[in-house]
Amino acid sequence: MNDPIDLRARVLAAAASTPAPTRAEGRRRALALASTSVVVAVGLFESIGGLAHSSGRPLHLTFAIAAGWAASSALLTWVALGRGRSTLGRRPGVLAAAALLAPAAMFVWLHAFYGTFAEPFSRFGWRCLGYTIAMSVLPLGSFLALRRGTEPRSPAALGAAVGATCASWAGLLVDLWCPLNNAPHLLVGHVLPLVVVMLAGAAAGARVLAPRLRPPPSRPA
Amino acid sequence: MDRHADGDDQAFRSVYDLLAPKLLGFFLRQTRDRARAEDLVQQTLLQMHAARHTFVRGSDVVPWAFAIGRRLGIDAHRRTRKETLFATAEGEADARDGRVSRDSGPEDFAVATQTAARVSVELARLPEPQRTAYQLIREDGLSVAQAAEVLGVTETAVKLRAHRVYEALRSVLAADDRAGAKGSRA
Repeated sequence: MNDPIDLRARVLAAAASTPAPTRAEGRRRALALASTSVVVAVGLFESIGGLAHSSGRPLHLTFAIAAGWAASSALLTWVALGRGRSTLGRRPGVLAAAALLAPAAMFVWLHAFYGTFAEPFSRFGWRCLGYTIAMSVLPLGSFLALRRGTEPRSPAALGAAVGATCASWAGLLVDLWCPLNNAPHLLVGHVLPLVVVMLAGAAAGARVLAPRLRPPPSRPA
Repeated sequence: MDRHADGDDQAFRSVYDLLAPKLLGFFLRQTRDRARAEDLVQQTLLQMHAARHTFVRGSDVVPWAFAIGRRLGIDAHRRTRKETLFATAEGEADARDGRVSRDSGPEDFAVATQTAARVSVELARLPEPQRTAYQLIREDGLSVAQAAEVLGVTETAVKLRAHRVYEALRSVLAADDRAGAKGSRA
């Protein structure tokens, strides 16, 4: 039987030689990455025409749609990222349910405004799809990098919930830009990207967020 | 853990002293191999160290440690692709010898050892979520709430899982008793 003191010395020595960010450093990194994500997304939004692109829709409707969707995104963010008084965060079932409900909620909310104004033009929705995914990539990637190896229970569920959250906020900007609310366009341009980013988050989360065994630590001869 | 997360590296000693014995017992029950169990303890504590910036101030460190440990144990098990959980009845019986009073007679001791071995074999047959729920509560001393946090389910689900294990073990032991009674009559 090995000496427990030997194990203690080994673990403490390994920890001392392994750099690990403190809470303050983690907060600084998270803030920097979140700010960068927002700046990039808003920059992209402005570069493709900004709010002026949706001028065919009455402004008060644009803001009403955005306000409802922002509230919904904030709720999703709270569910996905809020951890209350537990380091482990919300139960995997809650995270998965939130991720799955988000696309349906988005569709119902946006489609509720269909027919309240004459749509200025007709589009299939590929550009909305592309822009939403493009705006979601950086925040999702940042989260995965920041929380790499820290979700032991259900990394796929957390990845899916965070993917849905990132796509939801990106979808808010795209909706400020896009004046269309008909069902086929919403499904392709606004709901599909949320589903795509959610699935990408689940797949990437399962690979990146779970703690993994490292190569066997060196043991004294 | 709070002090460690804030950057006090010396506080990790206290974290080790609190968690290492519990984790070692948890992994020993799973692997039956002290060297592997120690490696898993080391890996679990290093993962906690590396992820210290994610520790929520004031939260319970025990469920977090066991959740990481469980994940690494499953990972290790998948990698080896060998059924090492309670690999042999003999090994399990050896592990449980400490629970059988040495003051008992040799017959009592043999019966207790045999029962422990039978329980181990039955436990190994049960699904991992049920077995882990039972072990966390019964053998690792976690509360139902802590076990629920480790497993990511509700407390009711943990109680249900543990109850199913109790029932399974009880039915196996009852069947053994009936078989023993028949044998002694014959």
